[in-house]
Amino acid sequence: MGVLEYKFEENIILTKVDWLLNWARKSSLWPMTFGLACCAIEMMATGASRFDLDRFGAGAFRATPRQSDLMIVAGTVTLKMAPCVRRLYDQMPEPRYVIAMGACTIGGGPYALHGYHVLKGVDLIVPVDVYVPGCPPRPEALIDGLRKLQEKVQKQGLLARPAKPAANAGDHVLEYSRMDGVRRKWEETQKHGGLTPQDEEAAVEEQKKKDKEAVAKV
Amino acid sequence: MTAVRTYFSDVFMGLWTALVGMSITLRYLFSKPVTEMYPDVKPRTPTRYRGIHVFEEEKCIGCYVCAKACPVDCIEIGVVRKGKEIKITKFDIDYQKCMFCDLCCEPCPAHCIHMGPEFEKASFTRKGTILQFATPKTLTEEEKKVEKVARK
Amino acid sequence: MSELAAVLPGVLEKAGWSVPGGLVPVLAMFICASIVAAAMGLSAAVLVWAERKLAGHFQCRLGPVYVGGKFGWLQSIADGIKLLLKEDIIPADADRPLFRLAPYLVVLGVFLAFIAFPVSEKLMVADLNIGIFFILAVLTLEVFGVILAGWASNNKWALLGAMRAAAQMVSYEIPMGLAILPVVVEAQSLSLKSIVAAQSGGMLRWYVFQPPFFMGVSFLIFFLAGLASLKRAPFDLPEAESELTAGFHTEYSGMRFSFFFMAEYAGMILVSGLAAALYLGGWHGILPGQSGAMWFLLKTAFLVFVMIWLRWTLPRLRIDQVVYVGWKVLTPFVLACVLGQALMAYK
Ligand code: SF4
Ligand code: SF4
Ligand code: SF4
Repeated sequence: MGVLEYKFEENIILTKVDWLLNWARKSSLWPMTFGLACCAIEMMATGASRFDLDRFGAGAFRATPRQSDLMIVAGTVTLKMAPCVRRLYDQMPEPRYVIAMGACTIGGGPYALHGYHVLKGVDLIVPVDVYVPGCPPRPEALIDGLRKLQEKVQKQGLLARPAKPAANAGDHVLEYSRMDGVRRKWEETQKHGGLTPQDEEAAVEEQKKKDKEAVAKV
Repeated sequence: MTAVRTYFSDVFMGLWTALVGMSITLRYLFSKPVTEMYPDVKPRTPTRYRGIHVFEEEKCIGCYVCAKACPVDCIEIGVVRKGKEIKITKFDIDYQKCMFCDLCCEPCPAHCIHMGPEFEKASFTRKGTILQFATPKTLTEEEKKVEKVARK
Repeated sequence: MSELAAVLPGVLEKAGWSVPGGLVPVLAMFICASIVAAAMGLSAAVLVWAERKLAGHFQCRLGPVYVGGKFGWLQSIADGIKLLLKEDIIPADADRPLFRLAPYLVVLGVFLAFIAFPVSEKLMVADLNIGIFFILAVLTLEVFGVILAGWASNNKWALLGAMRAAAQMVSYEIPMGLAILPVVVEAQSLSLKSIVAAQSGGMLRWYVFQPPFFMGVSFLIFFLAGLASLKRAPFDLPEAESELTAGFHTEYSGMRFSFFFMAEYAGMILVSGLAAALYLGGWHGILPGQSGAMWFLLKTAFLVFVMIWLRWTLPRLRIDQVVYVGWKVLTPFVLACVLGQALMAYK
């Protein structure tokens, strides 16, 4: 899809096609079978009978990243697991989406202060589309997150350029670029075996500085 | 001879158990689904459900007890005190960290923070998960000087 | 197809097109092929939807609801469009030509088998005089595709899955082939048309219900072996999710994966249809005198339902159990059936 994206001016036919393609994408977000900690139990419950993720067409949990569209990062991302999460994300084909489920995944959660072994937010290594707070979020909260993601997918421009940037587009730009910086740093640190919190913080600080400069220029 | 008998009984049991299992699933096929229609029908959370907090600003005395009790330091409070008058300028709970443990609600002397029934707070940004409970206020220069913002 | 070729010149003349006589059979072939392909794709889509819906209800939940109307009718359409749009990944270390070839081979096997598929007396692409033999032969093409996919992916899970598929195919092709023999002995023909024709005259003339039930047992064996050769649960060892990620199609994404998906569902229809034709009287109805494509489709649908039912009931077997069942249970039983039927025919 990358070849065609944003190559056309907006017109009525393209908007219709876009709508169709986005509808197809949002109606069949196959998640990856992938749970890290206690939140995963709640994710399983969401897939099971009482809450039934399949109602939204998102119930076909695929075991391989190659066939899944959605990564629900459910649980504590330890520093040891972080490279694996990133690798799984890299193995997923575009378009791919990420839901950060639970406090641990959003920003460290209960481990935010003294968790020497926990990544403080999965958005430091993969771009996250929707954050679902809770410890653990109840299944309905995850479904709510999924619906928000569907909204977002429906709004994205595929062939036609989106008319105007979304309301919080600036926020995303900052976060994504920060993510990139962290990722570069992370790749460096991989050479000596894993990410340390100091590296992570330094990278975030550095990127913040760059962001500020970029914003000041504009 | 026993080997032969085990063989045939195994074959029979293999078929029979499969049939028993199939009869159970068939029964479920025609029973009523237990699924909750969540986005259409909102669930009723139990009375003591620990969801997103409820904060009564007018009662709060800005004593920081809740922030001290919180094991992960996720409450950030800003207070302006002028004699007896108390203005809560900031009451942010950081749901990147909060684990819904209820420890902040117990010690509150004014009983003004509670665990609520709400849970739908998914957001598109990480910042969006920090919820501001205090109504935004414009402060005078003098008030800005005496404002105290702290997590603990 | 021969009927179509006979009618075609007249139709073309009416439409005012002149086609040289030599081209007519080619045209007929082309039309038949596109009809079969379209029917295959369409039925696979419907079946995927039906399976998800049924799976939901088997587990006391609802299955797709929100995608397109009340029952999630459009679910497989959405899945299809999405799979089309997905990025197509070929791993760097994969054997590229083989990796590309494998999904086509898998689909081709099933597609070819549909040529001798006896929907009704008239609705049949070609009544080959070795019909059943032909179907069994081309169905084995599928396993080549599977093994190629596993090998070309250069992934250990994929390779393990492919090896399991090979082991499973080898063990189950034999009972499947042998299970057909009693029917062939009884009908004295390999052509599907004459096999079905021999079962006319009501339910009691169907081969499953013929005492002393040699063919009834071989129907069961054929169905089980068919399940195994389709890699459906409880024999889904080659794609065992819990141990091999997704087995032989671990590395396939998007369109290429959907080929495997489609082949599986088309294969379900094929095996069910074959079982219906061979043992359940094909297009003949329950009462004597009834016949028509409707009956055949009903029986096929029922058998497909049983397959789905089995899948959502039984857990997966272990590989040694699968091979045990294939060699030590199904094969001796089917041999006994063949022997019994042959003795009866001899008398
Ligand atoms: S957010 Fe809470 S429930 Fe979820 S993984 Fe972390 S500690 Fe467990
Ligand atoms: S519920 Fe627990 S973690 Fe959340 S703010 Fe209160 S004390 Fe802190
Ligand atoms: S403990 Fe109660 S009164 Fe004190 S700051 Fe917290 S909410 Fe306000």
